[in-house]
Amino acid sequence: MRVLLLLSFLYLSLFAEAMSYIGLSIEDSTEFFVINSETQDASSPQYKLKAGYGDIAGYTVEASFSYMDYATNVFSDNDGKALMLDITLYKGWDLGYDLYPYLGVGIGMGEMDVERELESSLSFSSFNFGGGLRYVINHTYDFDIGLNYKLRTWQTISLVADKINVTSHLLNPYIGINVHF
Amino acid sequence: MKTFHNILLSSSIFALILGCQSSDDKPPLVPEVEAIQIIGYDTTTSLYALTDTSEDTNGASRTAKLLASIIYSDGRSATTANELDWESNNSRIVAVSNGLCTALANHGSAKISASYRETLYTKSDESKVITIIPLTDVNISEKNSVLTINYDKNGTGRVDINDSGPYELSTNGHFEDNLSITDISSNIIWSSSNTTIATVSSSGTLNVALDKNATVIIKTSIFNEVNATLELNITAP
Repeated sequence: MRVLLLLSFLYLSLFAEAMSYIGLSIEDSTEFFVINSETQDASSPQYKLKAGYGDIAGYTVEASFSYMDYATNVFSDNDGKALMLDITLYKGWDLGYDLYPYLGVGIGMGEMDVERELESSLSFSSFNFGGGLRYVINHTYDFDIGLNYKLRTWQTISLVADKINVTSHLLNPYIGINVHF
Repeated sequence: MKTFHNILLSSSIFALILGCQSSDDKPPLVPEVEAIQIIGYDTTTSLYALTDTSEDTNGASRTAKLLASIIYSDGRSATTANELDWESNNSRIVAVSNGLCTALANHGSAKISASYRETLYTKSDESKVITIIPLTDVNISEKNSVLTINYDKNGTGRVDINDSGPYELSTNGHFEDNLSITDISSNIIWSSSNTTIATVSSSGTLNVALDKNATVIIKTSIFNEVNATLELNITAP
């Protein structure tokens, strides 16, 4: 019984350090496509709404919802809007001076509108990792800057007598602000 | 505080960079499917009025195998048949599956088209017309020359039989385009006017019961059209 009580106190002590937060960030999404030895890059702003839980000097889990408008012509003459959902696990460190560098790894999925004969949208999944730096402005706000890399695998595209598998590489430098509560 | 100001300055520069978006006038990197065109034959293709789609011993093809060329926006093309949904506008005349056309009647024609996912279709002027070459005459013979079959001017064969057999019957087909195909027995449906006395198997084996003198009419048909008649004059021993 005493062991159980001890474990319970230990478990609750973790929550004492943990905080929830929500945040916004703006990213520059530069995506490199390679298909049949041809390459094309697309650069678009991306807007992210995120919610996380954890200790920024330890582990944090974050779910984020992103929006971007490709406005490119990789898949069709007019590639459209994309919505993405990512889950990321961060490990942070306290450097002092209110600075908290971190590394993160995660997965994501999403869908983009296209104007193709056979597809009106394309889904994709991604493996993400990156890192950044948080500057804690005060007990409530922190400023966030970082860089993410995403390896994105797109839905197989049918060409009737052929199929095309597309992967792309993304670099997302970003800045944002988080509100802790 | 100085650090914070530096970060804000960096953020401003970053936001400025975000405002400069790349634009690209190149065609899409992933090609688009532009058209489905049926290929492999001329606009009109003929098909012999036979049910057996195997190759004939004379080398004449009994089938019409259609293929489609998929035209892409980058100028390339690829050929396929099985990926498409094929359709005959007269499915009582010509059936089509995976591009393979088979005759279902002795006369007529049908327009064949192809589509993909009910989204891409062949243009109507690029459909193919499959025309059946009618079977005009069937000649029944006996393979081992045991029987002598005599034909009258109407094409009806007559033969005298005084042995129970079996006899191996064969059928040669003559088509409207003057092509003759040897042994079309696998396409033939045999019938007997009196199956208690004379029967013919699907492979053309004739067996006769010599219980009494009788006349039995053997007929062959394809697509429900009778195309040969053989009169058996059976003499009991």
